[in-house]
Amino acid sequence: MKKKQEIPVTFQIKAVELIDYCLNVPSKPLPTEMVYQFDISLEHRPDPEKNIFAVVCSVTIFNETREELLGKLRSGCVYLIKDLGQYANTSSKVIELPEPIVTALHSVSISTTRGLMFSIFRGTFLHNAVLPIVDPTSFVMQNK
Amino acid sequence: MKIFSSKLIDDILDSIEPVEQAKVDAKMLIAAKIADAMKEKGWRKTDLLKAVKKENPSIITKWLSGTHNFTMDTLVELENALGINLLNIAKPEIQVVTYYQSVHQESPTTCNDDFLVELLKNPKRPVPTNSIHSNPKAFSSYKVFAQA
Repeated sequence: MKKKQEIPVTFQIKAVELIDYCLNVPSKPLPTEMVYQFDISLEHRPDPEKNIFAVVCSVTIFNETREELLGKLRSGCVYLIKDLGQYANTSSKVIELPEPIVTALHSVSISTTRGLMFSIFRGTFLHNAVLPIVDPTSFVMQNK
Repeated sequence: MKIFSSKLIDDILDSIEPVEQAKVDAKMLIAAKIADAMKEKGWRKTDLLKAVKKENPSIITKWLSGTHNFTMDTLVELENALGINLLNIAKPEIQVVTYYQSVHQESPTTCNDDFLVELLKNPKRPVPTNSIHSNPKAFSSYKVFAQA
């Protein structure tokens, strides 16, 4: 049986940016025991010429019934990936990174955003809206 | 400040065709890009001469003068030597890809300060069984192996 070949992909984190955030004061006080709902989106913004791959992570926080939007935060994690251009698919005009790399980038970006959220929302009514542990492989892809 | 004006200079400038002006601009821009790339690399003219495997040092001066009419071959050689883009062709238009997911907390999260103060005061306090212990080696490596 042919042994699977392992390809090393070298990457490093270059920058972390807090792009924007907002708080929506709830119409009535939130209960002390509150379960928050989160919508997470991860946008891939690559620049193959500069070997730069930015992941923009947007988190929207809702109340338990998803009727009320409580807050939003958008962060950008910028990575430097060696030879990024080789993953460019010219027909679909998309950078197709190997699945384990995408998972690693998603995982780092979500964790970084979780930290930023805690730092930004600390002391506000979203103090306890800690982003849960997310499976980075379970995201649904959608092309714009 | 007095602004100098001359009918003769105005007439000369007006007589330059826009296409001719664009040609001069492009030559000057390429020369500036080469000079900038050399400066960034800390190269002197002799270093560039070696990199493009030429023998006549005056060719570099000519390239940097902003008047040289570059051939396609020379531009490609300079792009490779300096690692810059001079032709701006075949730049792939890359689409943005978005991934979505909705999650919710399994139970209310508590991160009140009293709990943290108590935890810090009593380091021997038993750790809840559902705590996640991170592997310190998990994210120390920056290499991920993809299977082909």
